[in-house]
Amino acid sequence: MIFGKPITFMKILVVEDERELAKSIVQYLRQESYVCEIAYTAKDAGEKIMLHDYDCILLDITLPDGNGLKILEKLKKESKLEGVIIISAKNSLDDRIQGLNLGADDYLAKPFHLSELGARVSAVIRRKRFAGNNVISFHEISIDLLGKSMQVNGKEVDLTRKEYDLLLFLASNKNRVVSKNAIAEHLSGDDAEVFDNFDFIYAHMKNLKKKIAEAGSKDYIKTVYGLGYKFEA
Amino acid sequence: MKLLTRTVRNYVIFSVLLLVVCTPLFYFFIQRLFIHKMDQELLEHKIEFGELALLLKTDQDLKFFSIMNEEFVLTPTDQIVETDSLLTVPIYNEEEKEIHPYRVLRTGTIIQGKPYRLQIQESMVSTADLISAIVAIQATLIALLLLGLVLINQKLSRTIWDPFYIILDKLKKYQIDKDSSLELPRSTTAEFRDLSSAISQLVNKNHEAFQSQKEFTENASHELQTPLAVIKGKIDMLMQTQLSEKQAELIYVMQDAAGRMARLNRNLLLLAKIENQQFLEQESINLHTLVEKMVNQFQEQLEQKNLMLSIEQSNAFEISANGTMIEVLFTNLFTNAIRHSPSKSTIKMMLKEGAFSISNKGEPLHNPDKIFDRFQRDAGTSHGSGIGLAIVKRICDNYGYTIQYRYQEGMHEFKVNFGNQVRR
Repeated sequence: MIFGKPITFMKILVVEDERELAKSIVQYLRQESYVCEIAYTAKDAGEKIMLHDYDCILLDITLPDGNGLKILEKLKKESKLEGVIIISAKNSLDDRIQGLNLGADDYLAKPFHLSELGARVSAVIRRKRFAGNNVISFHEISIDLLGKSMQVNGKEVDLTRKEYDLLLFLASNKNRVVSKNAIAEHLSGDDAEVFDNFDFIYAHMKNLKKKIAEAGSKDYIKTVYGLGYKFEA
Repeated sequence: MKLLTRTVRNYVIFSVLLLVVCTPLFYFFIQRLFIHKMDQELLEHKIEFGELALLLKTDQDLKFFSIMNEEFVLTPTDQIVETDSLLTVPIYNEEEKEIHPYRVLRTGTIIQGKPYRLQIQESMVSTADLISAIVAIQATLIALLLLGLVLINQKLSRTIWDPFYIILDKLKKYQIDKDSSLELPRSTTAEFRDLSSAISQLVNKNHEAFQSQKEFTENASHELQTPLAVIKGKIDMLMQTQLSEKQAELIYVMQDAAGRMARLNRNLLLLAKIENQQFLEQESINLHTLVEKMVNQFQEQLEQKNLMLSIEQSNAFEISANGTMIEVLFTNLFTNAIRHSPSKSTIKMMLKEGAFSISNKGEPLHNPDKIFDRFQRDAGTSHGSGIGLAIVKRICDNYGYTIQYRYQEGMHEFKVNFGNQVRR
C-alpha cells in the first residue's frame, strides 16, 4: 500500500552478478511496488526458481558460475517460463536469438537506462498478469494498450504514435524521473545519436501535454529542470 | 624494372660496347699487321730486283723484264734516288678497269750505269678482302658468344630466382585477416632459405599481434559494458533523489557523457565483430525496400533539421549479404549525411546501376583522405562516435564493394558500388 491504492505485489527475481547494478535495479523497481529478490550466482538463481514463482525474471546471461541461458533452459523444462528479460553485456545477435528462441520475453543490452528496464518489466508483467485487461488507468487518464490509444474521462484523445509511446514510457515509470536521454533512446533507438539536441522530445512533450490538457485532464507530467520528466500520479 | 631485365640489360650494353669498340680496333690491328708483312715483302722484292738487275744486260732485257713483271715499274731519271719510301696509293688496274689500292715501295736503282726510279707495287685488294673476312668472322663469334652468355644467364637467373618470385607472389596474396600462416617454398639456396624463414616469422608475429588486437578490442568493449551499466544505473538512481537545479545540470552532463561512451563502446564492439567475421549468414536484400525503410526510420530526424530528400532510382536490384551488416552500412551513411547537413538543405540519393550514392551539403573537409579512418572528425562536429564511416568502409571491404568519397559543388558524396554481386 504505497500510494493509497490496493496493490498486488509482483515478484521479480534479479539474476545479476554485478552487485551494484543489481542494487540499482532493485532500488528502482521497488519504487513501482515490485518485490525484488537478487541472485548473484547461477546456483543461487536455480534454487530460487525452484522454490518460488516469479512474475518476471531479469537474467544476466554471463554469470561467474555458468551461462544464464542454462537457467532459461531449466525454466523451460520446469514449464515455469515466467516473463524473462535477458540483460546481457554481449549484445550479440546469436545470444539474442538463442535467448528469445528459448522463450525469453525480451532482451536488453547493457548498459541500459533503468527507465527503459522499468518500461520493459511493466510490459512483461502486464502481458503475464493482466492478460485481457490491457488498460492502465491513472485518475481520469486511461491508456489502452491493445488499441494503442488514450482516453481522458472515457473520451478518446487523438495521439500520434510517438506521443503515445512517450506517454506509455512515462506512465510505465510513474513517479520516477525519466531522463531526456532515455526518452530519446526509447523513441528512436540507436538512431537517437543523429539528433543534435533533444528539441524533438520537447516538441512531442509540448503537443502531448497540450492534448491532455485540452481533453480536460490535470497535468501529471512534470518537468525536472533540464534533466527530464516525471509522470506523477 | 625487373631484376632479370636489369642484369640482362647490363650484359647487353657491355656486349654492344665491346663489339663497337673491338671490331674497328681488331680491323685496325689486322690491317697494320698485313701492311707490315707487305712492306717486308716489298723490301725483299727490292733485294731480289738488285740481283736480277745484274742480269739485265741490254735494253731488250729491260723491256722484256718490264712486261713480265708488272709489279716493277722502272722510270729513267737524272738523279740517283737514294731513299726508300713506303706508301699506299690508288692505281688504275688495267685488267679489272678499276682503281685499286696498292702498297708501293719507291726507291732508286742503277741499271747498266743509268739511274732509274724503281716502284715496286703490290695490290691490296686480296689483303683487304681477307681482313674483312677475318674481322667478320671474329665479330660474329663475339656476338654469338655474348648472345649465348646472355641467354644462359637469363635461364639460370630464372631458375635461381624462382623461389624468390614464389615468395613474392605468396606475400602479395597474403591477407592478414584471412590467412593464418604463410606456406613458403623450401629452397636450397641459403639466402632464400633465410628470407623464407625471416618472412614466416614476421608473418606469424604479425598475425598473432593482429589476432590479439582484434580480441582485445572485443574483450575490452565487453568488459566495459558492465561498469558502464553500473554508472548509468547509479546516475538514474541519483536522478530520483531531491535535486537542486545545479545538481540536475551536473547529472545531465554526466548522463550525456555516459551515453556517448556507451554508444562509442557499442560501435567499437560492432566494428570488432565485423572484423572478426561474425556476420556470416547471407540473405537476399532488396536495396529499394531498404532505402524506403531508412527514409521512414529517419523521418523524424529529417523533419527536425528541415531536410529535403531527393531520391533517384532505376529498376530494383538485390544483393546477397548479411542483413544486419547492410542495414548498419545504410544506417551509418544516412546518419552521417543527416548529421552533417546544414538545416533546410537537401540530401540527394541515387540508387541505380548497381550503386548507391548519398550526398549532403557542407563545407570541404580538412582531411578528406582520412575520412574512413577511426576517430577522424572535423572540428565542431563532436556528436558522432567517430567510427561510423570506419564501419562503413570495413563492411564494404568485407564484401568487396568499393566505396568512394568525393567533394564537388559543395556536396559531400559517398558512393558504394556493389560490383558484380548485383542481381536485377
